[in-house]
Amino acid sequence: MNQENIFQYERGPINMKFKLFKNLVFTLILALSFSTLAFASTTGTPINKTVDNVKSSLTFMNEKLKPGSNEFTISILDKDGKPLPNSNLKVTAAMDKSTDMGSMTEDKPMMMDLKEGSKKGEYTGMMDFKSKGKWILKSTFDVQGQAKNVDFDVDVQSAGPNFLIIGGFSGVIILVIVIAAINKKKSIKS
Amino acid sequence: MADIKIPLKQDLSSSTAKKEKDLLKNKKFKKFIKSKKYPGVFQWPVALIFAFIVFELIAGPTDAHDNFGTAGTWVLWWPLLPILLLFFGRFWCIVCPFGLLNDVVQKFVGNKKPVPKFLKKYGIWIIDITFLMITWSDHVWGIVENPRGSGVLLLMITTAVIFSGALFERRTWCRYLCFLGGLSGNYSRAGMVKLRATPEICKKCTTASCYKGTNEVPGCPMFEFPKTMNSSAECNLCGNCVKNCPNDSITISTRIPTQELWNNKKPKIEVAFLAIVIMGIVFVQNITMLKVWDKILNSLENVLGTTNYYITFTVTFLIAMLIPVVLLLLTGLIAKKFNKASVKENFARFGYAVIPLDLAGHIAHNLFHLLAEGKSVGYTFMSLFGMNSHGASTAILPSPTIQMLQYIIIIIGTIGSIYTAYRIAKSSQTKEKLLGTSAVYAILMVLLAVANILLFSLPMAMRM
Repeated sequence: MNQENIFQYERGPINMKFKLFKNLVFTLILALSFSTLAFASTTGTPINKTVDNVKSSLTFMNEKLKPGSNEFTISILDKDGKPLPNSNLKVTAAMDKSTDMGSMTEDKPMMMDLKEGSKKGEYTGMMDFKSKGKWILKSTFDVQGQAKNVDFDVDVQSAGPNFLIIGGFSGVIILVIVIAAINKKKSIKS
Repeated sequence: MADIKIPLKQDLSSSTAKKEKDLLKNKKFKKFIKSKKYPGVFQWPVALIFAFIVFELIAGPTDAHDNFGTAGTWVLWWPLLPILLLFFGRFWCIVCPFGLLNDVVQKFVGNKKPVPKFLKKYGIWIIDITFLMITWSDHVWGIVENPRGSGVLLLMITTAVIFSGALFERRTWCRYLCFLGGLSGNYSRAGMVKLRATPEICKKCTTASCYKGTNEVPGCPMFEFPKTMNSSAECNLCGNCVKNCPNDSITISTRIPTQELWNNKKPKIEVAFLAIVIMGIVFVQNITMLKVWDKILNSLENVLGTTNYYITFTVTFLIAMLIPVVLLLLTGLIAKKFNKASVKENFARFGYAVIPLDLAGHIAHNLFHLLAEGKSVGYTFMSLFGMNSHGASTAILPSPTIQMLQYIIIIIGTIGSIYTAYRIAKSSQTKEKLLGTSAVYAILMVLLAVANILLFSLPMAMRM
């Protein structure tokens, strides 16, 4: 075995370890980058209301409502829990003026697009809360040709920092710095 | 991309050269630039403010109108940036906290690898595409109006800068990847400050320490060699060459705005493309802030048969980007009859003439935010200490006054662009053809100016 081969022989396991380390780091970077997707789905507590024997229920996907898009499910059922025929459900949202501190929110109530949910009598939609504060969601529907409405009061809280995003970026940054430091040390040694 | 090489006449009048006054002749100024304090005395305070702004954006109030980070970034810094670039060239780039971060990371863990060839070759195209993508993302996902969106953008840039600083040499990020650097480079070409070496002194020099650096001070962070540098697009006025030059060859002087654009020996298509696309971006920024935008969107929804904002906005975006590009190409086609140059050559050369109007459009658009919402910077800062100013007007000047200022700026920018097109034409034309070429580009500039003025005449929505 000549000197060059000995050198290659000695470097073999180190190279393998380094490759393994690189793969591990790469996987971690990917995992951290997409870590924010991991904790996506929790369901909030339903708000139930009954008006003229019609049971109405509003549930947001998140327990705590924050400014921005929030997915919700609304159901309109009769006293026996059956869906109302031809209910012509419409949902609008507006900020409760008594709590609006002069902020630039929409003056007109926002009409929401509804899609049929997984069960009959259930509808889903997206509510884009422009800012924190008290909001009123008005649902209007027809019962045997008569228009009815149910209002839901919801409290939109100020969103705190998204620690998953911050953590994801911090993790990537730390990894980049650590790899760079190791590489620098290696190049100085060699 | 290929440089367009066409013989150009020397167009620098000797009187202009004589008028240039070297600011480094001022002993105090020179001492300051050569001192260890420069540029750190600017960098560190800005970095501290920036750190606080990032903190506010990611952890402060979620409503833009309550967030000091949003006000500091989009109402104060962004409108001031083009003004700074006009008066001081790319000086902002040496003050920029991302540049400082790059330097710090590089100092401690930098691998200082050479810049990959593809970055050198396609860097400006990457910048062009990134700039377009960020503008598109802003409108679709919300960056400016959403503090968290702005925070995430800054975190993304921070991560990319750290990566670049840890891996590559010098300021690879600022030179080849930063989308703001691309914009700043373009505007600085029209700027009023230039740093140059003195050719007579440099031809005897054998050290090239301005580029290579010395034991005490690194070489040019922007990969520029002052001896051959003939543009201010990549000079961030860091002062390293002033500190390193053993022969006092470097001069810093003021010049007439747009002067550099008059004599471009190697016009690049990608720079011209960025210049004309910026005009499209200014149009998009204006259109989407107009109160008639909702009506336009409704009509578009009817035409396209969808209410999906991704689709409707993307169509608007593409149209707004394509209109100026197609107009410049068409003008090049008409100009071809007068100057016999190819459409590609005309696009590359005369694209630079749009830069003054770009700069004017950018300043004018953001002047609205600065002057109509400027007080929000103070209000949001006061709110950090619990002082509430709900309901108070954020305007520094009344809207009609701001509108008048916008028109004046657009007119100045148009004159700058028309004159630049004339000088570009003059630098390679015979007198018979000069008038025709200049006239067609003058018509293009007037058309772009009219479009800007029309947009500024309509009521605009606020950022905060």
